[in-house]
Amino acid sequence: MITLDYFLILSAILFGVGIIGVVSRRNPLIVFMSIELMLNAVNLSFVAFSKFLNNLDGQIIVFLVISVAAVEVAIGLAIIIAIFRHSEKIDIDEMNLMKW
Amino acid sequence: MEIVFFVLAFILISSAISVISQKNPIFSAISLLINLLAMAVLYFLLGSELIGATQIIIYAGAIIVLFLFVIMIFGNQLLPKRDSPRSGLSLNNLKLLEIFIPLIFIVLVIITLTASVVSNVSLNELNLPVDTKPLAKVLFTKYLLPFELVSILFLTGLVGVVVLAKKQ
Repeated sequence: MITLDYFLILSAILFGVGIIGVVSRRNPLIVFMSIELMLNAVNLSFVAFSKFLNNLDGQIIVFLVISVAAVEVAIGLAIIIAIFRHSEKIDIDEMNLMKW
Repeated sequence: MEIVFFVLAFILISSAISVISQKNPIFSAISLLINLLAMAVLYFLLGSELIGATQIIIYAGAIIVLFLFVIMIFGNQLLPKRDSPRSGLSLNNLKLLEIFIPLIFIVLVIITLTASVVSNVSLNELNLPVDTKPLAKVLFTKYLLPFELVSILFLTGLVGVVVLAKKQ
């Protein structure tokens, strides 16, 4: 008997794993992957809500989230390449050029 | 149905933990791929075929390939030299777990208390029609403006990537 809360709990656990990855890793690629994990967890809860409440709007939002995630990854990886050309050092802790 | 859900949940959680705990970014990317494919199977289980197919095409086909290309371009240089976790916030430093584990626990309690109020049907009782056609109808009528704005977003992203990645 799988109800809505099973999906929401799974989504919350995946989101928590993503947060821990964003906060605790140094490698910017793995930080981006953790952001993808979090976006996916949110997508899962949107689809589950859309199915259990019989409302299609949630699935439209999932499409928008997927396209925003694709653009975000492309821009982020381009920024990583630009930073690598500039400083030869890819470490989240060392990127403090714009820190006030 | 229950067994499929629990097997998928196990695959999802273990591959997510593998993404954030691998030292080599290539293994992280492969774990992310496993995670995304299992999520697509979960969408098929929920009966939204269009989202599942889009997930496989865009994530597995485009985003993972982008990650692997960047890892391939930079090779091993992308790894931080000292592969210790970040100062202040780390998994070894118990501060992080002290903050997040109670937070996640509170969220889980709230979910279990409120979700049964919102919907009390189980997945077996749900009738799951193929909803590609109604989805397309809603997307091209009610949500036409966000759909068009996404194309502007893609164009902006395309120009931005070219400007950022080109040689000075």
